[in-house]
Amino acid sequence: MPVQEPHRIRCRLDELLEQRGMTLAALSELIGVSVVNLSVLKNQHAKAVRFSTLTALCDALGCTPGDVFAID
Amino acid sequence: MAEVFTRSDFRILRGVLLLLVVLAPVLGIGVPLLSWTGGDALQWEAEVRTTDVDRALPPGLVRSAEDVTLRWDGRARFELADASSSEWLLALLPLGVGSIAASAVALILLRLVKRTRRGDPFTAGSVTALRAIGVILVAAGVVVPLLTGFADHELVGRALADDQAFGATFQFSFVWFGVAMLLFALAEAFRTGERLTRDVEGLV
Repeated sequence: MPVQEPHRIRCRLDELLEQRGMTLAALSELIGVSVVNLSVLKNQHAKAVRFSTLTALCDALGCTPGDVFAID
Repeated sequence: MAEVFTRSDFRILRGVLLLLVVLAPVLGIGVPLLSWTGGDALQWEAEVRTTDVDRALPPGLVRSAEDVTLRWDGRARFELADASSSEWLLALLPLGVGSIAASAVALILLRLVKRTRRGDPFTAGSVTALRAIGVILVAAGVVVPLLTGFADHELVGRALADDQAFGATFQFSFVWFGVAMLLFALAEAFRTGERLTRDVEGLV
């Protein structure tokens, strides 16, 4: 069971996209994850991330998992 | 994986269930009510057994009441020309309750099929639906044979002129209880599916 309690993980996808001048649609096209799912991630609605998604994100954005997430 | 249950299969299934929702009460309640209000004779058939010897009453020993036409072919089939309202009600109840149960089950199944067609079968609603069908089957499996047995007893007693010794037979079918148990087990599987679906919500 996933942790249902509130968490303090913040996804920094919007910042990373902005720094690279990339759109969500372009990223979606690049890594093969739907725009809807990426929006869920970007808008802090995701409860869990697959390692495969994280790997694809890091490859496409040229960053590490630590860059994608921050803890508040 | 190849699609086993196609869109047209769903459409046919929905059509069949919709027919059952509508036709069960019409045939089980509407038609007999029309016979009643139209002044037809009340038709009934029952298995009549002697209480002392467990065998069907031989036809030669049976004399019917004045307004009753009786046929005997192992089962008592008779027509009551002047059936009272209470006798009609007695005769209507088993089939009426059975048809309402059938219609309710079809209606619940119809909603379940719609949910499955949407690709969202594992919901709390589906679990409740399956349990509800199980409960309806158990209830109908008890109530309908009891009502039928009671109606048999009363109507056969009314149809026979002599004070024949006979006992009403309550014919319970344990198939319904078996089906209900399967449905309860299926509901449990759906509950697990619903929990797993909830677990992966928000998974990217």
